Amino acid sequence: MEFAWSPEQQAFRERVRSFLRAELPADWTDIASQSPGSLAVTNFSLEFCPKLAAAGLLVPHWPVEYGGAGATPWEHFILGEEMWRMGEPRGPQYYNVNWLGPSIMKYGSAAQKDEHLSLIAAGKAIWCQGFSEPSAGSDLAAMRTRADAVDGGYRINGSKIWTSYASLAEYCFLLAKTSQGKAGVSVFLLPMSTPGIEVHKIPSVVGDGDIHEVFFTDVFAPADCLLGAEGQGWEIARYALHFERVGIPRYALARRVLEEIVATLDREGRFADAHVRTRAGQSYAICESARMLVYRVLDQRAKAMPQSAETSIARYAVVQAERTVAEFALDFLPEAMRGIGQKLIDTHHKRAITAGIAAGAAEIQLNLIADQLLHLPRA
Amino acid sequence: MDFELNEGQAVVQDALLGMFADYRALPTGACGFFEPAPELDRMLEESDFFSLALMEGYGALDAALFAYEAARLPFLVEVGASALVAPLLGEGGLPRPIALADDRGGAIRNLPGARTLILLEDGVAKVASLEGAEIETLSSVLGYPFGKLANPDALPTRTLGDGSGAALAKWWRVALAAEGAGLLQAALDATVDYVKQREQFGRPIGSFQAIQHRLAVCAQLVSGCRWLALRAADSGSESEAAVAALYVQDQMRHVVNDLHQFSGAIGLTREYPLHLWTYRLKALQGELGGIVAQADAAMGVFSGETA
Repeated sequence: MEFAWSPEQQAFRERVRSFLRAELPADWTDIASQSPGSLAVTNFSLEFCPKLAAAGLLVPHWPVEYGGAGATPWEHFILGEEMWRMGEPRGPQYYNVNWLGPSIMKYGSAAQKDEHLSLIAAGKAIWCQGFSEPSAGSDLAAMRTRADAVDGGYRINGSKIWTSYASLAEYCFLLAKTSQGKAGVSVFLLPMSTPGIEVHKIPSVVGDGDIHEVFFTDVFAPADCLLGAEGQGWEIARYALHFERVGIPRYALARRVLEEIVATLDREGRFADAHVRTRAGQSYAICESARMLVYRVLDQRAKAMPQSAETSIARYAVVQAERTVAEFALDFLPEAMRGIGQKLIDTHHKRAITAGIAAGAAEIQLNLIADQLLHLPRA
Repeated sequence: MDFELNEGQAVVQDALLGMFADYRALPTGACGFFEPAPELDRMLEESDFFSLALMEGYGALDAALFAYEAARLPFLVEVGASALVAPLLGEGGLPRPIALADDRGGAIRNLPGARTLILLEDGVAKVASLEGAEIETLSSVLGYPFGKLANPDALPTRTLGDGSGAALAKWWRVALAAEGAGLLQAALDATVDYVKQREQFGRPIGSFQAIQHRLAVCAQLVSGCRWLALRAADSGSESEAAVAALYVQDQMRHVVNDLHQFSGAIGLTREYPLHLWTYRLKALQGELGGIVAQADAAMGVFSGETA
């Protein structure tokens, strides 16, 4: 047991920081104040990610055969911490490197790997995730979108909702029912240009481009769009969610925002107050706890240990960390939310509210902890 | 980073847990506010466990793991000051048990029975032998022996060098965090067992989501306490020590209240062991200035650090 970064890991972090210092433009903070799914950030990501790829910093944690460098989950997260801390210049493409690519690697055919992994590893792919439906949010198994077998493939009918990045995505990682029950869930890698797909933006408080409705009307999906076997979708979704739930190092931006708040309060002579310092300290400690609980999961990943409820523990801790820092800002630096303060703080606040809802509601994480870690009896 | 015990740590852990095996069983009948275990204390001392931090190949992390595991027992053994604080101040081998204080005139935890006192006073660490010192035992529900020096100003002390005050505060915080994390884990484990057995409305109360979610949150908080304490022990960073102590003191209120809530009236009795952990936690909650002082220390070195 030991908790220090190795010299190689520290050097890797410095390499990422140098890259960011060199490549982020002067107006990046303005761009980043829009959501990862906005047109501005998405377009930025399509210029930025190929540069990251060329520098070997887009998918270093992927195996060499898929364009990576075979680095460990630790490098994956060092990279993620530095990116998220800066407001995520990879835009929606963080999805691809965190969970989408690994899911295709594990379950995809040779042709799917050729087509999709090379595009993702080049920094040129925008995906959306078709999981939630109007009647299937936390209760994902209640989904109604159907994929009926037809000659040469499937005919898909139904709708998805809260779909991030859908209006600009080229592909959808889509869950649909090929038969009843969890055993009837299948995954399709579907081009969004397929006839019969309609996308509606949903205006939101978290930013443009972040949530949509997606309608599927007699959409034909060729058989080679199916990821894994028919009916393997529940297993694939769980695999993907494990990486998604502990995927974004949200504590890293929360920590940076806390630094900004503290620096501002200090500059204004307000940081000597014991109450302010205590609240700041509490927020800081909660961020650090989330960081350690995430690192615990990474350690398990690095050792190829089985997925466990530690993922849910880490996810819940991260939700608390983001919210605590956002509340601290609202209490002590409300001007940041009134249009004259730092944009980063405002950006963080918009994102903080999503963490407890996306990738399975926070309450679902608590259910999983109660069941799988504490082994509490079921109702 | 590595979150699993290495070979050497596993050997120590096995030896410790073997020694603790006879002390897992709860005391029978009505307990005191704490349950001493002099025989276990003697065995640990004879086996040199309190010198772990200074042994070749071992260090503060191993001593913190010792403090954590010992705190999970329903018996009280003074570990934090002896295994962590004194050796890491360069004062290994002091007569123990050792008490820590930041106010020589106040109520001091672990003072009755202690043979050495380490004081944080005027920004430096001072060491005092308690041989012959007159100690007044205080009555407290908080799960440690508390005492008061009858003549605090007459106690001769030896002052340690520059920087000793900061070092004492740091290792005291690590010890507090490691002990607190162990107490929290033991109290949580006991409560999880209890809610699986206790039935109301025809089913175990642990099957109600109202209780499950709160226990799941407790599990998350307790796990965070443990990793922060162990990280601080490993790094020896003042900032991480302050963060660990702050987090443990801050979250223990929430966890302790929930665990008592789920244990109902049986948790209020002294025939049930919950208080042997939770009332020690209450004693630690305000120690060394409580969350206000830990936050002040943590924020003092906050700015400009890496992510």
